[in-house]
Amino acid sequence: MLGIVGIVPDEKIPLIYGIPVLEEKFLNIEKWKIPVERGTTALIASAIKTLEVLNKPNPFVFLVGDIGKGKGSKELYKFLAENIHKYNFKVLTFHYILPEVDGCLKVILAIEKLLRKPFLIADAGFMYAVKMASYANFFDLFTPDIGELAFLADEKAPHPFYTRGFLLAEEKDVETLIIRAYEHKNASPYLLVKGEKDRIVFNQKVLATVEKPFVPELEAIGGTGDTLTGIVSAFIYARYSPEEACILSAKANRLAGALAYPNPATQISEIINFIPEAIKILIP
Amino acid sequence: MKWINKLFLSKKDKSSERLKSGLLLFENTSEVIKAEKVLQKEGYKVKVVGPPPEVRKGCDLAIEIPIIEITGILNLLKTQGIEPLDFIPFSENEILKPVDLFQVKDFGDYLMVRAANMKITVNKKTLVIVNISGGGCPDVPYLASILLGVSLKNSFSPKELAHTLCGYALHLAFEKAKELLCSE
Amino acid sequence: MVEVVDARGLSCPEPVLRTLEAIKALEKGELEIWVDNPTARENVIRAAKSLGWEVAEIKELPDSFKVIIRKS
Repeated sequence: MLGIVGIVPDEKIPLIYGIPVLEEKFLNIEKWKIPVERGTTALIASAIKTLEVLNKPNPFVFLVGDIGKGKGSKELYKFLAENIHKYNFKVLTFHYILPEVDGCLKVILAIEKLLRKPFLIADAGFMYAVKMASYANFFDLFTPDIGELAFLADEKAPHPFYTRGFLLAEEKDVETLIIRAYEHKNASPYLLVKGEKDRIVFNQKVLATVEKPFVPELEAIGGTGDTLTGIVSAFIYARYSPEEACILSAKANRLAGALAYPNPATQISEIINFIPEAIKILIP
Repeated sequence: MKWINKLFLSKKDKSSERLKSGLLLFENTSEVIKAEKVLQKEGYKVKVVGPPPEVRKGCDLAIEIPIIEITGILNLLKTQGIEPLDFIPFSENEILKPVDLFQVKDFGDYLMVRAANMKITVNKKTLVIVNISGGGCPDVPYLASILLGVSLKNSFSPKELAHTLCGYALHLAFEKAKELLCSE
Repeated sequence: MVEVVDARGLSCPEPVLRTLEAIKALEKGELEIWVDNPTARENVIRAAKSLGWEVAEIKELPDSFKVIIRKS
């Protein structure tokens, strides 16, 4: 099974879990109908679209409502720590959550006790928490943007707010940041660094760079980083090697964007619809 | 604050016209956000900027202040428990220039305004926010869902709802977009 | 005069990317695309259809394929 963990920006939604069904622009899970928007729902929907093409089942998701205050996140950390042993995940992707070292450590300790360790992917808030807890090496793949890479590279920063470059890092700094992140053991073995060019990295070495197609409008569209993480989660679950999965995902994410013929007002749900087309072009 | 001795300049320096403003550096961006709020409330004309890349100390945000007001500013911050890391005096003639937090991209019918790591895209005709991108902080999806479809002319501001640095950057982008598109 | 995209000798997904660029530049009209293998032919057709263009003609030649797409 592929597992996905994250929050949704609606405090009405309690902690819910199960296999969602994607219907048009909504995820149906338990009795809830949740719109697909930038964030974890975009990640889930893009994973589902990818898995459809690869003939694999939908992911199992854990979601909770949290508008950034942390109440839902606390519940989610606790639930995972207490219940992760009941599931048999081959791949687990952690996404938006309030970064909190204590909660994160409890989840990691629970995963350590599993008979078989899943392939672990982290992005956004959970990735910050893993770095803050000094457990980057325990994970297999991080998918940071350049600002987040700056946080990974800053060995002294206990939190993104202390990082030089979290807000202002530039494309030209990437290679240096990659080296520093690994030097201080704050990067997972694989990195998929999102940016104007997507970089696939393994143990400090840049294996590949994907920069085409370049669609300028995509910069304005919220969620294009979330879809990349969703697509790569699905490819790894479908037993593609991490390197191949990262390269294909970066290409598919961009190609889906190009096929959607976007303008800056295009919503991520429209681009997600083109993921299957993009994948069929890349792996006929 | 050892650096405070920099403020006690020689007579020769004091008479120089070069020193008009400077940058207060802080350890973390939460302090910057808090300091900005405190100073603006008391009527100080201060601006949040990115520190020059040559300056290695501190976090990604700094506060530009008029040097003539430094004593009052430091005292006020002290009462709020905020202590800057350092102070960098400069003028327009100095090589060290703060980094502009803002970038603007014109897409014809749409304008994308970037502040630090957050981007807001607005329909230039209707002034409605059509997209928000950037940021992995946990309040971003919520703020994005609130702001999409909102007109810049609306008096609502994301500042009060933001809990994080990304949220603060989004507030900066919103205010900048308003300044560019709504000024009469 | 018909716009021509010569994607012969290019590896996947370049033929599709060149086609997308040409479609974006043209917006409507007629486009002639040359590829040198069946996979590229299928991919170009797929990409064009997904953007609302119709396939007017597919011709197989000794070492290549010619695809004509149209949008009015």
